[in-house]
Amino acid sequence: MTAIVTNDLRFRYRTDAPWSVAGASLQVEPGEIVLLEGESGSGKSTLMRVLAGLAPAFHGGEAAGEGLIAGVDLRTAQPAEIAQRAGFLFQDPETQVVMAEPLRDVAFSLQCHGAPAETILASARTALERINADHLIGRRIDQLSAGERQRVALAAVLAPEPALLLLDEPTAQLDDDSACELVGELRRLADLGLAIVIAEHRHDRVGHLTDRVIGLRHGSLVSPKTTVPLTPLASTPALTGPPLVALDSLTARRGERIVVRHATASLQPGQVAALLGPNGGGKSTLLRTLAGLEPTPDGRLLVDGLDLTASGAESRVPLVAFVPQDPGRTLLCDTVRDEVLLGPRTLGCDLAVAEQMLAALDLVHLADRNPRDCSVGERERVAIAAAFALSPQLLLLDEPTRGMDLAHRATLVRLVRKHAARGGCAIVATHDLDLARACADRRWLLVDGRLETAGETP
Amino acid sequence: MKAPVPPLLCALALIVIALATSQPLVVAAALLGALALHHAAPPPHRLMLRIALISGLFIAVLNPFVAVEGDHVLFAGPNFWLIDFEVTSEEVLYGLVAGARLATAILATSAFLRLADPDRTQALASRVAPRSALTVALSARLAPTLRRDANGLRETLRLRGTGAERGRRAAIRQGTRLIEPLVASSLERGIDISEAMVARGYGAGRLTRLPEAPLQRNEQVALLCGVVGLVVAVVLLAGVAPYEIYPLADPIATSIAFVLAGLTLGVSVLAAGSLRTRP
Repeated sequence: MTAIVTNDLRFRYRTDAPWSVAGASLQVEPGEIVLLEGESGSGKSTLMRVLAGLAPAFHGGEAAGEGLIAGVDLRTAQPAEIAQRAGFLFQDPETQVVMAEPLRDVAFSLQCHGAPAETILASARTALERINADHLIGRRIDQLSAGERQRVALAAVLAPEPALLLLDEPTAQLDDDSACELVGELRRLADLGLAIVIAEHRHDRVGHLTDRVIGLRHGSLVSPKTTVPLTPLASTPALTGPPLVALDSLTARRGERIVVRHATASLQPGQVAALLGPNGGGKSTLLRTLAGLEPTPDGRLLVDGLDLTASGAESRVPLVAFVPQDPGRTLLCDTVRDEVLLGPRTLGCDLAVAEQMLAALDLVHLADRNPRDCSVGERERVAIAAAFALSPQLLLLDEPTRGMDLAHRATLVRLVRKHAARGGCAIVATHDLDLARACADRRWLLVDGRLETAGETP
Repeated sequence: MKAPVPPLLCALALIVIALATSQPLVVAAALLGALALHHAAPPPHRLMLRIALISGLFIAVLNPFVAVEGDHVLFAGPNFWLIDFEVTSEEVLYGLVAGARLATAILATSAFLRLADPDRTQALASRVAPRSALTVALSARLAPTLRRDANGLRETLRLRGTGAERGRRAAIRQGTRLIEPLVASSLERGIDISEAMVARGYGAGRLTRLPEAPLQRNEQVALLCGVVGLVVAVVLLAGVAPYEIYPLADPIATSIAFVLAGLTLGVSVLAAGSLRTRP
């Protein structure tokens, strides 16, 4: 049975709005892996939601056209009925979780699919083992890192072995090893007859395993663009003299757990460090500590000669600006423009810089829109613009390319290098080695709570 | 996190005991028991403790000025609209008992929510009331998610430099600023979670029940304590130790009151010790 057949499928969030999915005619056969590519906001996630039967059921709006998902008619079937045939991985793994503990969460999928009670826990454990996440069993999901959460979400989708997998950015939060393992597992499943549709900006990770690539522009299916990897920009020669940023035997902890011990490193003005390491290695905690959101139990942080160890985040801005992981969830204002201008207005910074950042990050056409109506990638750009708008000395970016297309990743690289050229420093925690190569001139590797800073360009 | 039934029975017993009698010793024992249970549960402790104390004290202080009962006048004053400035010792005692009841209910409920494993609570709910399982699941997931969102929003405020202002007014201004995004976030999260459940296949057919893990020894002890507590509650509901505050308060220190209060406090402390979560 054909996994997906759609004919002139259309969807829009409001009846007076343009179609977000504009006449998609698509056919995906069992065993086929299809990659959906397109810019941020081009409608990839929306199309996936329509195929999963979740739009318009949960989002309102208007749908038209025809679609069969593993033989089930999209027009008449309930979303839960489609879910029995099509597993859907949300772009944000946080959204995917239903239970509080990984094994229970994966078991929930199997329970919903009516698996026999006596096999459920064993099957759930196997699903977690398949993507190397069985060591997370027994931990609380809300205390896992984003990458670890994504693995749990993936296991929950894979466990019931549906006929069709719809995966929205499945490797966005994964380190390279985990992404590689996932890709191998997906190929194995496809060879067993599963149809898989993947929306992903990281073509370098999944492109080689796909059978077909389909482009999406403004909701319409088109021929895919040729993707060009990020090109490293020339790094600025670092200035000599005292370092702008110095971590002196700094310890970072999350809650009661020490995750980074005695980190010592420094950056000269104009240097950018890529903070690398496996999922759950403590990258986010270290950045949160540098930003002043977590207390520093031991060691010192000096920025521009000032000892910031004891000061909180509110006292570190605008000297230090931080874009946390998944910032789109915690935007405060009613419009994109107000969000970007909030910090500069509060701190008396130059508002012209904020306006420049709106333009640089391609947000002008969204300036009057509520950030909650933006896509994940667009929200990420709003948060990045808000950080750049403070003209900080030290910029901290935690996985800044989630949901971001190649063009905007290139823009981000340019902005980071420009910031460095003006004498600023940046620390970018990322699994995106392309990004790390393109924008950083120092490599900081965080493994087992120890920071190794010997590396040059990653 | 524990199996839900033992902390549920303990919390329920304390609430019913506090509501079943006006005997001050027994109600005080229930309050102390709820405090013990509250401290046995994982953090946060301080917020709920503050809410319980403020709510309880509010009722205790308010009652003498709105009730017009009791024979022992402590202070004679005029009636002013709804406020009665004639305060009797019975009104004060009743206020204290009512305040303690409210605080007991708040602390016991909060302790249960923090002690019980939300996943197993959800499974229990789907067994007892299948139609309410979705609501229970949503509530179980939504509360911690919203707490995280609120923290995230507060952090965003700090990262935009707005947290630097000090003082009560600034705190109120910041709190007010968080209301709108938090409401929007809660609506968004509610939809997200129900969407995630349906996307996982929830609602398509009968949910397979997972076999429940057997109770640990400490959970068995807590379960026994909860049962004993419920027996005390039933004894009180049956009117074994009647106590009247109005118009004239009965003697407080009676042997039956000491026995019931001792039993209430004893089983609560034992249950708290058994359920205690180590950091």
